Amino acid sequence: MSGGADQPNWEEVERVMAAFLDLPEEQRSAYLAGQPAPIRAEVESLLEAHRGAGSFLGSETGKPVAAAELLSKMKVIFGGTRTRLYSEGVPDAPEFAVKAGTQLGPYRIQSVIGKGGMGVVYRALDTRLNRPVAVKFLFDGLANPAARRRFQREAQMASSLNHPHILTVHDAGDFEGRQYLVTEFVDGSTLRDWARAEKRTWREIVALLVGVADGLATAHAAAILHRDIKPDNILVAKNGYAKLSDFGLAKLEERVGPEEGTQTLGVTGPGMIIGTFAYMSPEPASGRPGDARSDIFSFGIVLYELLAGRRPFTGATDKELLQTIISGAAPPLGADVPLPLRMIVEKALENAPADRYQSTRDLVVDLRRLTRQSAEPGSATTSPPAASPSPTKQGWRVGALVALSLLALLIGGSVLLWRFQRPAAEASRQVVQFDIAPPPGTIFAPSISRQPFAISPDGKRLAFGTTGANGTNIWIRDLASPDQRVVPGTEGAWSIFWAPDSRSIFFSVKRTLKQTNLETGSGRTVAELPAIPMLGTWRSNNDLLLYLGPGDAYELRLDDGSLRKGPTFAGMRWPQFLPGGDRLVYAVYDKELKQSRIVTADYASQKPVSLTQTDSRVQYAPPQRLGKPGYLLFIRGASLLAQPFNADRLQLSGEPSPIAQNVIYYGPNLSTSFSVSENGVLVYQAGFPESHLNWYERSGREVGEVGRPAPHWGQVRASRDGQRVAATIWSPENGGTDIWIFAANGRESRRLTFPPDVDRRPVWSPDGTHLALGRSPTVGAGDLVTVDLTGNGTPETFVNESPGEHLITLPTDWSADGRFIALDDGIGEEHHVVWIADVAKRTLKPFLKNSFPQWGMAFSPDSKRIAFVSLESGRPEVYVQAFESTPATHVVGERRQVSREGAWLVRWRGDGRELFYLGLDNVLFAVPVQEPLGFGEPKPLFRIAGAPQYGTTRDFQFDVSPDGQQFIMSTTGSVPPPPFTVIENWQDKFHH
Amino acid sequence: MGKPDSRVTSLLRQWNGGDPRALEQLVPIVYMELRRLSHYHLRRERDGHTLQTTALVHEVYLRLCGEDEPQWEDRAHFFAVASRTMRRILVDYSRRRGAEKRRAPGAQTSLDDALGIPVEEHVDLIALDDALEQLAAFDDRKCKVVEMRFFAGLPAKEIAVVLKTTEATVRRDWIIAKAWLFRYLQGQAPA
Repeated sequence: MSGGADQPNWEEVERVMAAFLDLPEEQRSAYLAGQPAPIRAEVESLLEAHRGAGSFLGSETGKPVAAAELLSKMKVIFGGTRTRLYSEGVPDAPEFAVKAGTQLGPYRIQSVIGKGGMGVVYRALDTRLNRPVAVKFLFDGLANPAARRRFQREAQMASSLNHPHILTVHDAGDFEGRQYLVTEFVDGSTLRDWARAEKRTWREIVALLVGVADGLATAHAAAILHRDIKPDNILVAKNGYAKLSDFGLAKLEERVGPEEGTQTLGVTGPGMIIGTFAYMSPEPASGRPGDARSDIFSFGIVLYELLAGRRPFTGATDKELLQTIISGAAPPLGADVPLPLRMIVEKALENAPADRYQSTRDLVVDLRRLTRQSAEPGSATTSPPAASPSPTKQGWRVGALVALSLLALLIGGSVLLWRFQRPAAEASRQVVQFDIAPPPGTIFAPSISRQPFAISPDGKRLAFGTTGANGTNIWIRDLASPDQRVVPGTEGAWSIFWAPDSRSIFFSVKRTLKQTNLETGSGRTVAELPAIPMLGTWRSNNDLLLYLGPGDAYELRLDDGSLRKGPTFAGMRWPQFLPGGDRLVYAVYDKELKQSRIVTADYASQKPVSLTQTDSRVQYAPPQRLGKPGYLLFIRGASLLAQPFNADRLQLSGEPSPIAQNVIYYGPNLSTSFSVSENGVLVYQAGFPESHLNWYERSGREVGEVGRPAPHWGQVRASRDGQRVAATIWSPENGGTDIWIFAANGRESRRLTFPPDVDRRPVWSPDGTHLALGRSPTVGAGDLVTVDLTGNGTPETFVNESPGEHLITLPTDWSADGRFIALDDGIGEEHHVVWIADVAKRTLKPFLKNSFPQWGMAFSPDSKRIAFVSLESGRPEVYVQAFESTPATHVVGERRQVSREGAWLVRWRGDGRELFYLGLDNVLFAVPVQEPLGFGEPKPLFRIAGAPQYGTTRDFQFDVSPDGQQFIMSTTGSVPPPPFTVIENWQDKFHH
Repeated sequence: MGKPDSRVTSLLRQWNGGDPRALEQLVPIVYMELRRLSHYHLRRERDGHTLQTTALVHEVYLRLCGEDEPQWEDRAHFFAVASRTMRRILVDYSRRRGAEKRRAPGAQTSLDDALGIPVEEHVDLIALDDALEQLAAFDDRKCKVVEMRFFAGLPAKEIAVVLKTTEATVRRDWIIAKAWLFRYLQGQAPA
């Protein structure tokens, strides 16, 4: 008997509980109800404890539980550890526990996941989104308001970090005076467990950690330090995806220690709050403030430990350990670790911060190069046909690595090193390859449907666009030095190209073409165009052709600024003049063959000659020496290829050879991301950036993620019941996009469409059984297609004959009564016409057609009003108009302008009580709707950071939850495109 | 592998046969061996090796009893002894360090910053020890089940052999004991 006389008899309790456990689920409650009240109460209390116990003392079933964590406890107990024991510093802290079932706002506590240094971690359910989250309570040191404010600020900072390899912080709050953080739930283990589970190869280790390093670099770019990097703070999900957790919290802990501001490091003994010595960098270990380079050091220790299976710095006591860190050098890694990787680790572990990597981005770039190199280790396709036999190859590598440190010294930390020495006969030329990372606080501008970077014709300087807090800017990087500088007056720049003399750059800001002389810094407006110039190519030093879109180009004379419409060349895309200026090379989409071709044509006669197949635009690189060929560079099968090309005879020869894999390209408009100079310098970006599909609440706070990180394509639609989401994801097979369907609150996904077609703009039928989408061949006009989601998912063409040669079908909405689908047509503002598809009749007719563009039509939930964007005032604004459909036609009635300062996308709330529109600076507005056509004042909600600049793409679509409280969109615009890879003398990789 | 200590096997048999004095002689032997081995492994642990308590207990068993024809009952009884011994070792060390550090009652000794990771919950050994004492006061069998399962990783089947009961009972005992201990440690149990 456990207690006094008022307690129920234990044997009885035990008997009832045992019987209860043996009963089938459905009989249990009836059985319990039949028991005497005291017994029942006690059993219920135990059952509640049982539910809350979770993994307490180990798991319920399966293998014998061996107290798997006891070992680590024994380490403490037997004195073998140096891990901090936070609670030691707070001797009066009472036991704190939150019971299962406790509701913290929307989070319902389910079970204890673990107890970490920071406090107890619970698994909880976010009841709004029905997804698991982790709730981490911080230990009770935040009694004073200043500390509390700091915590809030830190939490805010941490939650501002949006990166696939950083554990997302969703929320923060307090419960009974305790602060907690709500983060994403990772189903997996720590990096330490990952490393212990099995022997990992260096490739696996680097592949796992390069993402973590990238996350760290992103944080550092935002001036957020981690300060406590260690294997226990790196989580590895079961799918092998690593995430860095507890950002910035180490700093916080420091501050909220019992003796705030007191430096306790370097003193060992009981009662001290100490850092994780084993992963500490020399700066904090010797009491100096750390910076990003301290994080780099700690990261280096983790990398070293994983590679070597031991830590680089050891000591019998904490004091000894600290002394080793402060003064010692790590023993060299074994020869089983490749030399370049050893050098990376050594550089990260340099004792003096000034000798380490100066930027985490550089470390990422080095690691990434390593993974790329190891992924294609001299495979037959990447080697030049006449490559020398393998023995010398090894020799190059060694030479390369000797040269590498010198090179690094010469050009500075952020420039990387890969040097393949030519065999003796050609020793004078060297293929040099290195990467360039974006300036701190910025990301490279994405290269879809524009040319956001260009190497100068003389190959000396790279001009590139970045996106950051200050908007879009152009930077200039001198390849011979690590310095890069922003070019004044380039805000909002879109496409970039160089003057033939390499002294000035031209760029477009919306429809304006501008020029800045880099020598004098003076800038000027060159011309105003009818659309955004995407590229310029020089016919002579005074004449150039500006490319605006397929078959759309303008001739510009620089001296008098005269502008006139150029030849169309039947769908010419991305033209480039060949030397001499009387012939062009460009890409064109062949409707018969359903593929794109590289074509050359005489500029005067416009007679085209088809050369070969391509998946992207083409660029010409002239011969570097007499007797050597020039090349055409283009993408095919996701590889960047170079094929010898005689520009005099307009003939290709030989076979195309691959230069690089995974160079970014986009099938539907053939844009890509490489640039060649006239003298053998090639710059490209490889590896398509992944982004997240996130839910945001009205404050702009991220509240949930759908699916997994992927190269999302900016088009998202939620079903009317809010249960599912359809979105576009880029497909490497053809550079186009396909439709995927997700559970609105989870990771589950299903790919609905596949190449060779490009599928985009999914819209849901009101009952959620069908999706309508725009389907087109890789390039060109398309069809409206519907997919029955309840059937086998085979797309069905909506109308047999496409009503227009150039109709680009981009569905925007499906009316709530199920009768109509609205579509946009065309590319470029002048082509915008809204079409309506009649679902019953299977007809497709133009509906809103005017002298000015209109697009993005959405039906109100009562199907009696339509909202759309119109350029009738000269500025895009949202209008709402009464809508009625008669058997013969559609009738529109009274209309009202809803937006104020311009808008380009619009959605209705599920009950029609509110409209949401995206302003021209991408601020999302909410407008109350009073029946029938009365509208309140637009209220700004938040700025959609990832949305593209208005007018630059039609691929961005967001959506609203049925209750209007949450918004879903992809973060495409905010995910950094990969670094530039620069190859000097790239043609010498192809020695014919 | 050291030479098996035949003394241990015979002591186990004696204990199994109902001689309580055999246990008194057995415990110190097991204790010393467990301590020695754990120290040995903890030194190695620094070089990146890991060892779980289960493995540790098994190793002690093999050292003391040999691997030839292990008697089923002997083995189970050995584990019963070893689990209690392991409990004592862990708790003693925990207490000693706790005293050194004027540790707060109920404060955590856990190590991992296991945010988001479904690992076993960390347990305060001193508090657990206390809770087990309380439990043993009115239900000794459940206390033993917890000891054997938690500290030595003995499967239910073997625990049933030692306790001369059924496997189903052991499983039920484990659930009930765990719930009771959890509630007690949360400060909810009746005084």
